[in-house]
Amino acid sequence: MKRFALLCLALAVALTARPIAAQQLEIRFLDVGQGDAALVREGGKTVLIDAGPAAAIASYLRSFGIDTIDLLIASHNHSDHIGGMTTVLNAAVVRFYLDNGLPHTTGTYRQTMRAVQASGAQYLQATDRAITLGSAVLHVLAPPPGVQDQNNGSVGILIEYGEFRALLTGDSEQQELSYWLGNGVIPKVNVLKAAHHGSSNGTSAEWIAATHPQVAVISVGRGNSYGHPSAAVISEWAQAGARVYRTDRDGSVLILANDDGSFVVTTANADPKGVVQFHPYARDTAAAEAARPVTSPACCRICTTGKACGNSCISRDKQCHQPPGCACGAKP
Amino acid sequence: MKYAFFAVDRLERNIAVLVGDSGESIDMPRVELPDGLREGAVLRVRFGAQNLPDWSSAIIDKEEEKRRLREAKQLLDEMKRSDSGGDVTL
Repeated sequence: MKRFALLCLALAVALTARPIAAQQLEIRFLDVGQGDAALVREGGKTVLIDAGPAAAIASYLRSFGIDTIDLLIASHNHSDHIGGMTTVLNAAVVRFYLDNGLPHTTGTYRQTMRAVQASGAQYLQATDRAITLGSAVLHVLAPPPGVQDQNNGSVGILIEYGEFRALLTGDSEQQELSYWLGNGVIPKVNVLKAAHHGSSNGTSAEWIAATHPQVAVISVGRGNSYGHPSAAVISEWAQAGARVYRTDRDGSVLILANDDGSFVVTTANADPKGVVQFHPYARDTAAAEAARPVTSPACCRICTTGKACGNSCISRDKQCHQPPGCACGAKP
Repeated sequence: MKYAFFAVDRLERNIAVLVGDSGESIDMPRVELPDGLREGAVLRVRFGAQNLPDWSSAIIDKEEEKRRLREAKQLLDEMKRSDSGGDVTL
């Protein structure tokens, strides 16, 4: 109970606009409509993986007070992943830029690469390399050699933070997933971003068995024209024991992880009971019971002086413009 | 005759996601576009009435596609030269 109270306290801190002071890894799957953008922060360093389809990313950067991005990653060069890149490059200092090295013919790609060059960011190739982010390590999973299409040329990012692991693989499809599985580089993970917005070509039985996540996040736009996500895929992840989050329904999804493998999840559209705690991943069947999530009745933030607004507190005389979140008002 | 280029950003089932040169994105049914369309192809499209693209006029411009890839590769190669490789600490 004490441990959970501490987790809730850490979550409350994380939901404010300031970077987290405590030693935790923060991953935010941002609701950017039909596209991807994930913010990763640890040790005062910031990584942004994809920038969504348009300029919406800018408001997130502003709200989190981010003016420097240590590493900006384009998983691949489709416009629903790099559409917001020029906005990011103009709004923040970007130290490193990494992409899949597969040129594209779109104006979006051309403008992005010109903005990268003009920004002075150091370009990094998507080779199998490790990138240290505070106490976390991002392992770059290179696309298959000779691949031509952007989806199967997505850069994979495996995040390790002590015992905690998360995996993001852009829009990778069967060809690339099989390549990585064949190379033996895919471990079990705690959190997985379902590839290609939860479409049927972005997963396989082998992929599910290998990654076996506790949480699967689908980054997808409400009412998109492409049929994402696949109902069958959602069912497959759920049957494998993963709790599935979707940015079109849940809003942005926040993961706060500890280095022992435990983590909490909350979402922008969560009700007060929506903070979910996960115990360290069960690495063997004996520990499976301990891996079950616990939905907490507790609030992520208690507003003692102000009033609850979304996931945070605001002054009582201000109007709340956020949807209901996990912050609670203090009892009268 | 006024025309514009639209590049095929990606193919999503029966929809081609096209991107114009100013970055605007348009979803088009594939059946309304030339056969043999694939990711990265560049369409040359005439403007018709009310200054809107006349999609029936769309043709695949292979030379424009090659030119764009050549230009992109040149920039990419230049940027790659500054990467010394290996692991990185942020």
